Formats: sequence, C-alpha cells, structure tokens
Amino acid sequence: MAVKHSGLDFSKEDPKRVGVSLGTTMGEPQILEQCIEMLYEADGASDSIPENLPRQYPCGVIPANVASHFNACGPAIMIPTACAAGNYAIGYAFDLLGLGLADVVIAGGSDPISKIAFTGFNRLLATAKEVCKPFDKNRDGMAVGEGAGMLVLESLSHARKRGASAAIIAEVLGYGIACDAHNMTIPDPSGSGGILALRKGLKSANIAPDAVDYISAHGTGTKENDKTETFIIKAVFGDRANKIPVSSLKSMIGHTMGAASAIEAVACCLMIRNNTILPTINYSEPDPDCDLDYVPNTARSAKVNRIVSNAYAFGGNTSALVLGKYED
Amino acid sequence: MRTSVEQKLVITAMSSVSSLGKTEADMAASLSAVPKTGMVQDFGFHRLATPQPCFCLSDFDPEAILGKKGLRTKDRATKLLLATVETGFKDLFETTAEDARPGICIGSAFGSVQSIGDFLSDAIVNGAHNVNPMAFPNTVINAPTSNANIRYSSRMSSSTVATGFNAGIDALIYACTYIRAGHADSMIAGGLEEISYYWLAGCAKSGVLSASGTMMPFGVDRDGFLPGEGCAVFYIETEEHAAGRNAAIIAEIAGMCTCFDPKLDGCGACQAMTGACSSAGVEPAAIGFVSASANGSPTGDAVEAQAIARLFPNTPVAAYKAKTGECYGASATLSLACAISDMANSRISGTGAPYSTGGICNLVQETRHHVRPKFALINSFSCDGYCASLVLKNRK
Repeated sequence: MAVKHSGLDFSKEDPKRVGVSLGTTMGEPQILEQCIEMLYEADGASDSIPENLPRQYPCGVIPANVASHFNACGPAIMIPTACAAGNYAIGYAFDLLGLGLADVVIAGGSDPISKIAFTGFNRLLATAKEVCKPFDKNRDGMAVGEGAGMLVLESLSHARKRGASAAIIAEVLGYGIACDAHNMTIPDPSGSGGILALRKGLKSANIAPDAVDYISAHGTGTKENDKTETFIIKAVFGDRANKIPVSSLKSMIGHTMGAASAIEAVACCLMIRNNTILPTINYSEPDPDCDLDYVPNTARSAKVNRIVSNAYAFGGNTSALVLGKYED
Repeated sequence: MRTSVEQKLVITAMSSVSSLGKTEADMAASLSAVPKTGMVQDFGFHRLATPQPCFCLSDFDPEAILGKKGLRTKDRATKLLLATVETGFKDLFETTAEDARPGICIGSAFGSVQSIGDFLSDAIVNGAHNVNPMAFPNTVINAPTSNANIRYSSRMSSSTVATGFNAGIDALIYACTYIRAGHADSMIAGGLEEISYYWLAGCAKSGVLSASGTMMPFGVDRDGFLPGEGCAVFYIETEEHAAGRNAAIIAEIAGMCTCFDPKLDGCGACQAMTGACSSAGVEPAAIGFVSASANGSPTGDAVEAQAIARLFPNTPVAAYKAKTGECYGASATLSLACAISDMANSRISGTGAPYSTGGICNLVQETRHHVRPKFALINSFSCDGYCASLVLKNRK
C-alpha cells in the first residue's frame, strides 16, 4: 500500500538505488512455534516438519521478501531492536538517503501476534486485565497486538526529479537512539536512555525543544513506562512539557511490538497532513506521576508542524524520531 | 562531527572467540593448523537424532572470563558476546567516561534461538502459566547486544542487525554508516552466533548441512557446510578520533558495499565487490587476496566462484570458513579477524586439508608466507540474497 501510495514505478527506478530497512521484535515466531509443536506431537522426531518451513523463520527473511518482491537491489537490512525497531529502521533509512547511498528506501516495521510475547508479558504481569489505559492512574498494562507500518522514504532531490514534490506527506527531520544500560525489562527510573535519545533526535533534526508541537508517546500503559516517559518529557522540555500534547496510539491499537513505532510514524505523518492530533483513549483518572496533556479520549484539531515520536524497548533501547511538515 | 561517506574509518581494537581460540595468538596459531571439529547432540529440552559434527566451542568457560555474577539468567549467545567484549574492550570502557563510551552494534541471524525455542518448549511441557518469566527477556533478538550495553554502561547506542549469514558484516556497515552520518565518532561492532538445537535441526531439515561431515569451500565434492559458533567484535572509529587518543591503527575499512540480489545469480555478489572497491578508490587488481564467503554450498560456492573469476581472475582466495565453520552472523566478522591476523603475519592462510577444487577459483590451500597484501576484500553472500563486501587496507 505504501509503494502504491507513493506513486513510484519501480520499473523506472535504478534497482541498485532502492533499499529496504525494516524492524521487528520477533520476526516470524509462528514458524518456530509450529515446528516445536510438530516436534512434540511426534515425540521429538522432525519427520512431519515440511522441508521449507524452518528456512522461513529467521527474521532476515522479511526484508529479503520485500526486496525480492520490489526488485530492490540496494542496501537491505533487518534491525530487530524489539519494540523500538520501527524507529531504528526509519532512522537507518534516513541515513542511507542522507549519505547518498540510496534514492528510495522502503522502511518500517512488522510483527505478528506471538505466543512468546503473549505468554512472556503475561508472566511479567505487564498485560492489561481489560483495556489498555496509558497514563491513567488505574492503568495496569499493555494489550499485545500485531501489525505492520511501512513508509516510502526518498531523497528530496529524487522526489522533485520525478515530479512528486507536491505529493510529499511529511519530512523526516532526524532521529536519536540511545540505551538505558540499566535493565533488560525495566526502564531506568532516571530516564537516562530516553532523555539521551530525545536530545539526540532534536539535535539531529536541528530543532529547538520549543519547536515541537506534539509527542507521539511510547505509552505502553504499564506503570513504569508511562511514569518514566512523563519524567523524560519533562526533563527535556522543562516548563513547556505540559503545553505539548502527548498521546499514546497504543491505547487504540495495542502494542504491536517492532511494528509499533513504524505504525506510529505513519499516523504522525497523517496527523501532520490533516492537522489533527489523535487521542489517548480509555483515559479517565489523572495520575499525579503522569501530569501532562495526554489528549484524553477525543481527537483534537491543531496545527502540527513538528512531531517527536518516542519508542522504547526491552534491553533499554530508546529512540526518538522527529518528523515535520514539508515546506518547499 | 563531520558527515561524509568519504570519512576514513579505522579499526583500533578487536577481539574474537571461536573454534580458532580466544586470543589473537590462538587465532594466528590455529590458522596454520588443521581444522578442529567437535560433536553436539544434547540441548536440554531436545536432542538431535544423531551427533552433529561442528566447529563448537566445547571448552568455552564464560565464568573464567566474566566471573559468576550476573550470568545465571544469560544464554550462550549473550555469554559469547560478553566474553568477547570483556576480553577486548573492558579496559576501553573502564577508562572512558560513561557519557563518552562507544555505542554497540552486533549482527546475529537469530539472537538466541535456543532461548526462544526453549521458552516455547517450556510453555508446551510445563504450561504457559508456569514458564520462567526471567527467561522471557532472552527471547528478544537484541538481548545479547543490550546485555553488553548494560554490563559496560554503554548508553550512546545499542543496535542489532539480523540479515542471516550477513548479519555481522551488515552490523559493521551499519556502524560505519552511523558514524559517517555524524551520530558518533566511534562504535563497537561485530557479529555473533551460538550453536543451538533449533538452528541445527532447521539446517538439517533444509538440507544445507554436509552429509559427509566435511567442510570444503569450493571443493569439487562439497556437499554443504558444518555449523560453527563464535563472536568477533571490532572498535571502529574515525581516523581523527583514533589520532586524538593516540590509538594504534590495526587496519582501515577502506571501502564497503551492501546490497541485495533478488535473483541469486551472482549480480549482487559482483555489485557488492565492485561497489566496495569503488568506494575504497581501488581497482580490483589492487586487491591482494579475497576472503570468500564460500561454505561448501554446492550452488552458493559456484555463484561466488564465477563472480570472483570475473572480477579477480588472478587473485588468491582464502576460505576461512574451512576453519571456523559456517557461523552465520559471526562468519564474516570472524573472516575479517582472520584476514587482519594474516595481514599482520604477512601470509594468506590455506584451508589446511587439501582437496580438489577442479580449478573453480584460486583457492589458497597451502598457506602462503611472505606475502604483504595492502588490500584484502572480505565477502559475505547469503542464501537469502544479502550481499556485502568490505575492502580492508593494511595500515601496519
């Protein structure tokens, strides 16, 4: 859909200048699940496992399939940095284009629903009993989801050359990545990695904190994440933090793991284009630890020229993607 | 920091753990010896039907390198990476202020598929409500890298790359791209892979393992590969950054190219090799030797041999996988470490056990001594279509 929407005709592109950059948490876990279930059904014998099934498992197969489908012969990569992977993949695509190593990069993230994620987050008591309520006082966890978000990124000169500058949806201004280096599952309460990623993102985009109109939060709905993310936003934006609308799309579509930040990037592009800020739904009771403007329950009309999209992950991986309205 | 694809990038430290040993001296000695293989069969929840010959690290003792603390919940992949980083970079991290410590980027095809598969097996055997929640964090593919960030308080970045056989070389190229884009002036980068039941069972099912139990890159009688495991990690920095801290330069990453070959017909291999030479500003004739990606695959080796013959008809070809096995995400980075070792010792290591190639390429079988190549080309071509090459420049 992204490629169709871009209007690109790949038969007219130099395949060597078209790249693919994707992110994921699990890749294709259902393949491994099937294989292991077959093993147990056959008392450890692998006879019933189809020959071509195991080779579909490694997550590197996903960008390979995309590159093959579109005959993209430029750089192709899978960056499996868990729930922040989409931002990492879009960031790498941004660098490939910025350094002139590609003209077009298909970038995004994908994750299917997996028993591993569902079981694991349940065992960590990190899933919501009913609905996901990011930043609400009574939030009790995430809702595991699945999906994919894809963008077609191209250099401005390439877009102009093919006469597509009028169709530009948004501009990637920069990104920042960092790491808490604290714990595999719990965010650093001091927000070290999140603060660093956000500051690096703003620096990379060459914009001041004052220029940010909206923040798409990681906002998982867990006690620790939402409290820490609020702290991070306040640390970076200071007194202006409570004037910037912040919302969590995960309240509406669940946590789609490695796809989440890519889907959020797609939504951010549309928010820029439509001058609309999507809300945090299921919000009813303010939490003293989460005291920002979370755009509760209802979308808001507003001019949105500069957006920061946060994404954090297991391992303490942190990221901030900065998107902006394209101005000729 | 400067942004430029022409910014010079150098390697100033390296460390590896593989069947070739744990130190540079081990590697230099093992490269001139006959390859050593071991056997694996039991993996906790599962057992291979028959013992599998492989280049495993049967004497790997992580506690001896890392101490006991904090290892209880770590899997083999993480321990391999931590042991490699501890051996080569502990001092670098400890003598660098926390806010200036380099970020880490590691390539691995699977992360720890042993952890992922065991988590699922545990859920089947003991019930989903009884699986060990402490095992869950190991199921994310970035777990080894992030564990290294945690152990060494490395906050500047943590990235993982997973492009099959090419994960390690693509992690190096990711790091170089990240530096050249102006995000950092140095990075720790490398490749990693553990031997695991699920990987071996999958390979057996896919028919890619050598039925004869031999590893003969470019051999006439090649019939697949023997798996291996290991990790190789490098400190990559801009030349200016290295000069600023008076670091000795081991080698320069003079050129690189990563691309994709949808048809698997060798066009991607040629594109990667010519692209790497072009970005290094050298003619193919200047390459002193090629480190091949060949692993004994009947089709893959033939495609690479044809591509090398087209571009480097008279250049010696080293096949280090004959001595490390096919280590997937670690393979190309181990080959890079071997090439650096060979350059330092003015030689090109042979495969160790002579076999017929039928003249498919200029494979070095008997080690050549007293050679002083200025440039080497490191190849990595995966069966999925990922193709990458690096040009290494000897700076010693």
